[in-house]
Amino acid sequence: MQLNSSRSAPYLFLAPFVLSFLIFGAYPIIRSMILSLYITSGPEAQQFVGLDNYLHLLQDPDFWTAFRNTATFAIGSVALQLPLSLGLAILLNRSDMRGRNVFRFIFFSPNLMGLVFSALLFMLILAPKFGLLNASLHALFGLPSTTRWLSTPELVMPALIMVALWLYTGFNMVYFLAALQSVDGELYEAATIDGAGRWSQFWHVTLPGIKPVLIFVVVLSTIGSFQLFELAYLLLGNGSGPDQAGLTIVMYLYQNGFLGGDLGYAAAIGWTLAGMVLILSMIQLRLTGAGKEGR
Amino acid sequence: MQVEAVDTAQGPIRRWLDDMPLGLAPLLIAGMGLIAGLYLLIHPVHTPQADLTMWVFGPLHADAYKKAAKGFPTKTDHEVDVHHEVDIHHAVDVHHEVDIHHEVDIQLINYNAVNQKLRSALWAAVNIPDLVEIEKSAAGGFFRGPLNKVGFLNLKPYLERDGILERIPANALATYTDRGAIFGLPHDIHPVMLAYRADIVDPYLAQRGLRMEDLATWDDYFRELHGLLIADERYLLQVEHGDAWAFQIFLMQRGGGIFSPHGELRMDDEIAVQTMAWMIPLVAASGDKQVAVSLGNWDPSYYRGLIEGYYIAVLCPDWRSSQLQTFAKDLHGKMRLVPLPAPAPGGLRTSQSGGTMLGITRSAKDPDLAWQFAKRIYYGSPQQHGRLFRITNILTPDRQAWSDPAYHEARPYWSNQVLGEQFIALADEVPPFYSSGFLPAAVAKLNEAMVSCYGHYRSYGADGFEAFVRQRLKSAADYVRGQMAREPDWDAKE
Repeated sequence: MQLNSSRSAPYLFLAPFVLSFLIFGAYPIIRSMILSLYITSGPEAQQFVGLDNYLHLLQDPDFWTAFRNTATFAIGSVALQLPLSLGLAILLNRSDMRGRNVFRFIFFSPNLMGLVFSALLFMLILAPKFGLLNASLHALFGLPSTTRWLSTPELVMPALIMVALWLYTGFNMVYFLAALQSVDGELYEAATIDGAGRWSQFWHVTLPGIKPVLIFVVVLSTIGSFQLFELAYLLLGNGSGPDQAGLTIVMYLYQNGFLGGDLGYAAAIGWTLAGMVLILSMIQLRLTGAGKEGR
Repeated sequence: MQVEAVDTAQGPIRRWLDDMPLGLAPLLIAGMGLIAGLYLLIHPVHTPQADLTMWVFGPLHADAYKKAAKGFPTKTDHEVDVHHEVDIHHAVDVHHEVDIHHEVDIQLINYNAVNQKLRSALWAAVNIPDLVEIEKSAAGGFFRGPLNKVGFLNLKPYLERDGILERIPANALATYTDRGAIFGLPHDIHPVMLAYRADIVDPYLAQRGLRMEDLATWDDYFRELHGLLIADERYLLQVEHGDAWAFQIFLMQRGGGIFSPHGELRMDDEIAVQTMAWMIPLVAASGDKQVAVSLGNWDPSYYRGLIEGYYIAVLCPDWRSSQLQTFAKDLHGKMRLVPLPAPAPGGLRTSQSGGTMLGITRSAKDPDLAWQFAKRIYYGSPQQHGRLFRITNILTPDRQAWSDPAYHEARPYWSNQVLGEQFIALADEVPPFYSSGFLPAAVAKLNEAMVSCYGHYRSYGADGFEAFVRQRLKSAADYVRGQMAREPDWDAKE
């Protein structure tokens, strides 16, 4: 009796999580997968279309616009953010740097403000004619003050990347700071004795030392970038911007599901996005060799 | 031997705990669960037991409706009087019914959240409100699907029964009419006027022996005011080319629209082509041919531009006039409103923009009671509408309310113009706006087309511009038609 009870104990401990996961996690996942096979117009109007939603999606130019925009944002923000974050982290990890704690706080502080506040702030900064950025560019370089950062198709994505840079560089810097502090100092001493310069130390000591964190940040930033919605939604006035220049995959999902009312098509977009992110993450892990180290 | 002594000293409770089959931890968890359960049993979560639940996204609306909900009876005083004359015993019963207070729970929900919350509620069939206000652009999305399964009640029979149809300008109902059913009551009409800087324009025109009211067409407007134009410093109108807001105003003024009354897409018809071909050069032309400028419709710069005199006039629906009062306070006493100049002599002097509907959901607990309340807040006392008009400048479609003094007061901000009378004079001319579940997709495609047309005009000027507009609008419309073609014929399936 005692033996049976001991055997069942782990299952009983796990039961609350498993039950809530089945109800609130697994069921919605399966339900949304089934939903993606229907055209819907409200709860009582559904028609089974099989894979037609997915086939239509592949031929839908708006979806590809959204994909292109999202990929541009992901590449642009990750490619700029990570070197900047790492550079800041290396700079602020130096023991001889004065006021480094103050700077660490300053660079991290945009994260304390929240996305909505940041978006509102940048709406004012980027405003044409009377915004701070335009006024500064005009005063310093004589550039026109009427630049419409959020209303010119070519400038929408650079503006979004710029805001994301301001928001998340400090956040990623904290990850890198933690990683840098875990690199054994004796390795640098040994490298110095062996005649390695700063650049060589960075390539052969620092980077291998922080590699797991670097991969983690790259994968997480990429996934986060592919899920871009709130920032674009807020900055572009609840829309996708001029010429759909700010249309992201999640925004396209939102437009179809919650504005257009076709939750079936929206579910198909969601599952396609999930597939893309999965494949992309696997490629990143494969390229960086992250999986091999654990074996 | 020593161990046994300790065991004995532990006592029966400790022994009982030790004998628990899964140990102490599960017992603790179970105990905590029991305590939490008992607490909830003793202090149950309060669920409002209101007779009606209503969702509203406008704070001012919510305040007004809360006031109207106080003392909301089931029968009108008029009905009581009639019964009193006929049968005194019956009258006593009816009077008793009047005394019953019906509680209405007015819930203020964020503008963007209310649509999602309603959609989720309808899907899950949980916590569906009895009444809900939604914005015009989102309304069409809720009218999709089989007619008898739309989430809202058809209010046409109620409107006809209570003689309210005649009190509302017919076009105000068009937005919320689908396949012959009226799913929403219009809260407003939203005539569009031209708001302009009277302190700059009026003295200039006076020198030329003219008044703003004399400029009957857009051609007159741009020609007579051309002397005020200073490239890069002052423009004659704010027209945003990055979104379709201004375009829709001009389009409806010319008798066009995005959808027809029967739900067919018409965003690429000849009226739309001509409107686009006329509008884009206003902002895209070079030199002194550029008479209008884009500075965003919703940015803080929009107000700043008017205050600084970067442009001297804006398209102004009734709701925007109160926004100007709030966000461009510096212009107090310097602004005036005039009817929109017409596209051509004798043409329409107004247009339409924005709107809110009140719907009664199909799952309303007591549809008749919901209708009584809807009537009370939308077609109730003129004083109630007057109070709201003083704050929002929004014109109710209920003609009976227009007698309230609020609609006949001079407004100092608007150079002592009588705002209400200005809007009322245009109310019957406001063109209809037809909604559709595909409106967001159509508007997104219009935005795209506009940006393309703007770019084309900037690059190539007027050469081949109309043909480009025609082709660009057609490709945009074809995309939307492709989306619409996927929609099953729900009513046929029924």
